[in-house]
Amino acid sequence: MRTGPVDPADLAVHRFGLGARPGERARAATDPRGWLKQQLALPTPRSLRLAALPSHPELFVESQRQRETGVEKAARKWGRQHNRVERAARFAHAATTEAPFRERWVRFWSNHLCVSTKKRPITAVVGAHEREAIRRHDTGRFSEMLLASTRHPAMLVYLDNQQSVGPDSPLGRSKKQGLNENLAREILELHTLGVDGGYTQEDVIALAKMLTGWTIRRPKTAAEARDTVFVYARRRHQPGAKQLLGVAYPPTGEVEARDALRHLAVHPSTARHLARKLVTHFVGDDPPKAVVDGLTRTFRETDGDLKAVGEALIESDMAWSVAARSPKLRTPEEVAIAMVRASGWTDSPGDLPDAVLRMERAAQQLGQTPFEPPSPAGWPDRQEDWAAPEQILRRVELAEKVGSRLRSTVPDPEQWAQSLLGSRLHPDTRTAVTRAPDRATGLALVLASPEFQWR
Amino acid sequence: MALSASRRRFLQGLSASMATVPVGSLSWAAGSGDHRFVVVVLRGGMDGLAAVPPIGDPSYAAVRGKLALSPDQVIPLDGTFGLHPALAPLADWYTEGHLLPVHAVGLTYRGRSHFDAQDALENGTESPSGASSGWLNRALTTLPTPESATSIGTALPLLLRGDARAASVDPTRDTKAPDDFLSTVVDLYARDPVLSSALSTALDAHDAVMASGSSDKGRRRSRTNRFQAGMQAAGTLMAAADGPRVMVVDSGGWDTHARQGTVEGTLARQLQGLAGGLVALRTGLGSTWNATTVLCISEFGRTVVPNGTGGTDHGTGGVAFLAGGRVAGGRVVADWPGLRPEDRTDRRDLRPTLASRQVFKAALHGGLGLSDDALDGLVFPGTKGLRRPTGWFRA
Repeated sequence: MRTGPVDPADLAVHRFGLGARPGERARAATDPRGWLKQQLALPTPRSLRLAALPSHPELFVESQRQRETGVEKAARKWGRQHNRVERAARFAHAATTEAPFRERWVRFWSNHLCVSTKKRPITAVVGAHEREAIRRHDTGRFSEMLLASTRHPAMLVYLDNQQSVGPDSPLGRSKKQGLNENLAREILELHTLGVDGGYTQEDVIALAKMLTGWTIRRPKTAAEARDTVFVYARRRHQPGAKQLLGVAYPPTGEVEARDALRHLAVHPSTARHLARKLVTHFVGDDPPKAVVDGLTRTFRETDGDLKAVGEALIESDMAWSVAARSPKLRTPEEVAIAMVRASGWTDSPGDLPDAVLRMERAAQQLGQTPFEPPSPAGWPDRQEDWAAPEQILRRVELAEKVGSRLRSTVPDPEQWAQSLLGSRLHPDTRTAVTRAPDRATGLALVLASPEFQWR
Repeated sequence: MALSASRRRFLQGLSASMATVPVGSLSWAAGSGDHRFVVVVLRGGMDGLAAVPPIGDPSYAAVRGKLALSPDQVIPLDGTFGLHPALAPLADWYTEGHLLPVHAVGLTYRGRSHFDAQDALENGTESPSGASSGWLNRALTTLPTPESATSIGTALPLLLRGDARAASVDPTRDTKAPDDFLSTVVDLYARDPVLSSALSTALDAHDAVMASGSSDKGRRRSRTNRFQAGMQAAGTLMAAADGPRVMVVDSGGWDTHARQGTVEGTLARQLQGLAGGLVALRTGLGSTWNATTVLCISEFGRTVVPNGTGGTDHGTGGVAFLAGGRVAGGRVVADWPGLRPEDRTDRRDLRPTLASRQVFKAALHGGLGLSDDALDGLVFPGTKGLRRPTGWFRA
C-alpha cells in the first residue's frame, strides 16, 4: 500500500493517535515515542466540556426529578437528551485534544469494560461510567479500574447485578428470588481471564454469589445523594464461604467480591488476555507474539500498572516495525474524529457548531452509534468488522460531504494532504489530488484516500 | 448513480487480479454451494395468530375478539389454519408446494424484550448473551467450500457476525456523492484490495437495483418500499453466477401495540409488504428460485388476547415461514397447543410446541445441506435434545 519508508512521527500521529491536527506532526517529529509517553504521564486530560458534566448521583437525582414532574416518558426523553450532551462533549474532546494517544487509550479501556445504551435504563449514565470509572483510572492499576467499573451503577444495571439475590440470603429465602450470573460471567469471560482463561461454570456461580448485594439505591432528593448510588445490600448477599479458581474466600460480605476482583485483575490469564487485545488494537489484527509476550510480562511484573503497560507498548520496536504490524482500518468514530481534527477546528465556549454535531452523528450512519456497542464484548476490532461494502461507500460519501464543507477554509489540498499525512501520502493520492477539478474534490479525495482510512 | 457498469467491472477485474483471491471463492459452483439461502428477520414480533389465523380452533373467535378474522375473510389452508388476506400473493406458492408455514414456534429464551429476544434468535443459544456470533455465520464455517454471505443494510446483523466472512450492502438507499467523484475514488482504491472490492461491491449492488427498476426514488421513502427494493436486489444479486449464496434481509415495523387492524390496518400493510417483498425476491432470483430456501422468522409472537388499544403486546409463540423451490410445502406444520388460557404460556401467550432452533436446523439441513453433526456441534452446540424435524424438503 505504501511505497517509501514511513516516518515514525506519522505512525505516532495516525497509528497511536487520532489523526493529525494541523501542526501535530511537527510536534511529534522530534521524539515520537517521547511524545506518546508524555501523554500517559499527564494528569487526566479533561476538556472544559467533559469537566462540566454532572456526576452519576447528580444524574440520578435529576432523572428522579424528571420522573416526578412528568410521566415516565419525560425521564426517558431527558435521559436521551443527556446522552447526546455526553456524546457531543466526548467527541469535541477527541477532536481537539493534544493528547490523542491518551484518548485512544481511554477509548480502548472504555470499550473493554463497556456499557451500552442498548440497555435503555442506563442511557443517561453511560457517559458518567466512562468519565468516572475509565478516565479516572486509565493510567493507574487495572484492578482499580475494574473495581470502579464493576461497582458503577451503569455496569451493575447493564449486566443485571442490581437484581441478583443470593438464594440463601434473607431476601432470597423470603421472596424466592435468585442469582443472576450475567455480570460474573462477563467479568471472567470478557473483563479479566478471557474465554479460554481457565475458569469453570462453578467459578461463574461462585463469583456471582460473591457479587450478590452489590446493587444501587436511587436517591430521591439531592440531600440523599452521596458520592455514589452504589449500595451493599446485606439482605441480598449469599451467606457462607465461596471458592473461586481454587482459592477459598471466607464470608466477609461486601468485601468478598472486591477481593475476588483484585485477584482476577492480576491473574496471569488476565495479563495475557489484555495484552493480546491491546496489541490487536494498536499493532495489527494478527498480533505479533513477541509484542504480546512483552506486554504480558510487564503487566504481570507491575501488577497491572496501566501506565507501565502503555509505555512498554510504545517502547516495543516491533510495534513500530513494518514487518510486524498490519494496517488497521479506522473505525467509524475514528474516521469522524480524524476528519474534524484534519479541519483544525478549535472548540470555544457555548453551543457546539452544527457541523461538528453532524460529524458526531456521522459515525452512527457508518454503523457505530457512540456508547451503543452491540454486546458486552464491545465494538469489534478487526478489519473485516468495518469493511462492509455499504460502510465503505458511506465513508466515501462522508469524505465528499466534508471536502465540500472545508473548501472555503483550506486553501491548498495538496499542501494539506502533505501536512496531515506526511510520509504516508501515496504518490497516486497526490496525483489524484492535484488533478482534482476543484478544491472541494481535492480535499474529499484526501479524506477518502486509503492512507486516511487506514491507521 | 450511474458510474458506467462496464468501466467499473473493468476496474474491479483489475483490482481482483492484484489482490490475492482465496482459492475457495473460485469453487462455489463446484461445491455443494449451488443452493441459495435467505433469512428474513421480522423485527418487532410478528403476530402469528393474525398472519396464519387458526380459524378452526374453537376458541379463536372468542379470544381474539375485535382482532378475529372471519372464515370468509381468510384464504383457507387446511381444516384449522387460514392465510391472512394480505398474504394473498403467497397463496399460489402454497398451492404449488413452495410455502411451508410452521406454527407455534418460539425461542427457548422466554424474556419479552425485543433486543434480548432478537439477540437470542440470532446467536442461536438459550440466552441473549449466549454467543457473540450468529448461527448463520457458524453454519457457513461448517461448509466444505466458503460461501459468500451478504446482508441488506448498513451494518452486519448478529446473525451473520462471526468467523466466516460476510458483507452488507444497502442498495435501496440513493448514493449521495456525484458519479465522477465515486469514479475517481474507485481509481484511487485500485491499489487497495480491501477498500476497492468493498466499494465496487456496494456500487454494483446499487447499480443492480437501478437496473432492476425497483428504485423509483419517491416511493422508496416508505419502509415497505425499501424492504421490497431490498428483497428484489437480494434476488438479483444472488441470481448472478458469482453472487452471494446466503443473504439476510431485515424487515421492521412488526411491533403492533395499537390499532393493528384486521383485513385492513397497520398489520395488513405489513403483511402485504412482506408478501410483496417475497414476490420481488422470487422475481429477482428468476429460475434460481428452484435452488433457494427462504426462512422468515420473528423474535416472538404476540399476546393471544388483544390489549386495550386495539393491538397486541409482546408474546411468546408465533409463526415462521419456509419458502422456496426446494421446500416440501403446501401444508401447515403445527403441533397445535390450543388457545384457552390453560393452553397458553403464562396464561397469556401462544405456547411454543416447536423451538425456533429446530426450525433453523431443518432449514439449514434442507437448504444448505448441513449434517446433524455440524448442527448439533458447531452451529447449535449441546442441542442434541432439540430434534431436527424431517420431511420439510423435497427429497
